[in-house]
Amino acid sequence: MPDERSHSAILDILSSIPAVQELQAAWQEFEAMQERLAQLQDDRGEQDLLAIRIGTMLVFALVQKAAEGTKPFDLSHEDWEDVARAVAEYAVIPDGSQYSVFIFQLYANYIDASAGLLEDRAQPSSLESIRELSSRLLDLADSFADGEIAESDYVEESLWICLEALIKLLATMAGSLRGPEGELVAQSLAEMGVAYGRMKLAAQEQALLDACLAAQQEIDSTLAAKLDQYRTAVESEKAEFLQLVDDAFTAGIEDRLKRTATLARAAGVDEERILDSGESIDAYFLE
Amino acid sequence: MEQPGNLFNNLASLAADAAQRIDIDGIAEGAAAAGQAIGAKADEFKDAAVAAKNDIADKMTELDRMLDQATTDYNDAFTQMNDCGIQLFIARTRAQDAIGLAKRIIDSIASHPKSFDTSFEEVEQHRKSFADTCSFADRELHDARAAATQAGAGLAAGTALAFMAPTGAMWIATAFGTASTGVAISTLSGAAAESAALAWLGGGALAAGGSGIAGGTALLALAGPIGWTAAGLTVCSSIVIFARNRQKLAKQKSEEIEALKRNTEAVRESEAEIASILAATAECRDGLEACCASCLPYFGRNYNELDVQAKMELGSLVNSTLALSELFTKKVAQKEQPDA
Repeated sequence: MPDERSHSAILDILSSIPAVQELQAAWQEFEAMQERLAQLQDDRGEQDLLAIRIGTMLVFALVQKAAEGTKPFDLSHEDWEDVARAVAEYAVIPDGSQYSVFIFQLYANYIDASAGLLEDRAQPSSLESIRELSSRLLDLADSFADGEIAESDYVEESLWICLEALIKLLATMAGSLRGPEGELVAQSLAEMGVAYGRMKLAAQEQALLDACLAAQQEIDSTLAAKLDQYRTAVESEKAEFLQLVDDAFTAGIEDRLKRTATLARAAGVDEERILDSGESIDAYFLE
Repeated sequence: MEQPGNLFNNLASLAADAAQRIDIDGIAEGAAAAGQAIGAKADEFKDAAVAAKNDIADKMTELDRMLDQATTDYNDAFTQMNDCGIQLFIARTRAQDAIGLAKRIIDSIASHPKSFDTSFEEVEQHRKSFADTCSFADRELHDARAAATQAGAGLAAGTALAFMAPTGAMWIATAFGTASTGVAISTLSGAAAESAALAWLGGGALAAGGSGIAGGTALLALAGPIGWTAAGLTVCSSIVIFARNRQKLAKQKSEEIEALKRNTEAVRESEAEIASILAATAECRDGLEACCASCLPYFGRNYNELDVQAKMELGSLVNSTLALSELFTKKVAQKEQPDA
């Protein structure tokens, strides 16, 4: 078992090294960038996504140049043309779905290359299980290209595969320090951890959808009852009024004056305008 | 909702810490069995996740179906209400004719012309527009592409992190203690230590060169514990945000369906009211026309020469005309229609 005292002593020593502070600062910047990206993702603007893609390919292109020995401040005109070409080819020209496929192909290569780094320390079976995930990413891209899965399913599945591969890489590296048995257990734990996380997120989404569907049923019954009640009230008023109309126009002459007066009242005519006696009729026609 | 950093850290710590704390020597013989048991549990969780995913897909399809149905119902209800409104317009126009005839009869007898208000406004309600399944599908696609874009951006940023801060990143390699050669980094010194750590970080691959970004050395700079952690955090963040956005979309879809249903109910109430006014107008108009027919013999006569029965009929004609005219003032109340 690791000695916790020596472990914390090592951390104390390491944290006093200037290089550690440099990494911590770089890491904080990385996390801040992640938060900004998350906010932009909420923004829903296509222009924002394009800007992120351009930024992504710009970084890759500049780091590539640095890897070839040319620092950003020393780039020549031709170097900048190369950078611009890379940005156009990978970020600007492809449409949204092509760009997603490109990114996950990058991840597939990255995972495969990472597995290669562990060749001298990890078990072949562990590396094979990681490389299989890389192959799955490429197979998924083919399935998407063939129209077998929808784009959002393709992206979601690819993200989970990437996560599983990255955690397995870390677990394999840590586990390999404890020999083949440690590696096996670590890989299995990594797989279980990711599967558990996925199951929990899915359960959360299921619960939300169940609540939405149940709410819709309740809305249906409430609205049906409300409409029913309203229609009943309107029908009742209509029936009453139509009865008055019928009474007014089927009555004999003797009753017709009284009943048309009632009808006029029910319709909302002002009382002073309604004729309900001989005198009022005389006044109306003679004045 | 779990924060991306916490979820990833928890998952990574679970795996790495468990490996550190398990007494492998003590269970060396049972490690294979332990691995299998954990693997079986992982399969169980995977099956549960797949079942949940299928269930989610079914429920999302059901929500889409509800949205389509609610949109159709609203449009149907609005069309029916509109049709009813047109019928009322026609009925009122005909009623104006009946009132016109009654007025001519009355004016031909009365000492002074009488007025009956026959103006009316057309029943008009505005159809609301709602988001349909296509617009939600567009948003879901946008969210998926945004998740992939963010995953790519994080990879680039992690590359820059790992590549541009190699001296700072080396402590990770030293903390793990061994170089790829199997020699503890801490036992190396100077240039040897640096190149071993760089090799661990993928620095060795840097010297090999690459063929373009897709397979390039830039990406290899990210290969190593820093890169896996940075990339893992990025992917985790993308997953959590993607899931959160999808849940938000489902909720918004449900709210849209509710708004459609409430508006449909309001429109149906309006239709019932219009139909009631229409029936009353039509019946009153028929009655007035019958009254006009029976009073026509008195057209242009001297009122004082009419008998009591004739005067009663004329009084009824006036009341009927007033009643029908009053129906023109009935407006359909604009029902409370909640916005989507």
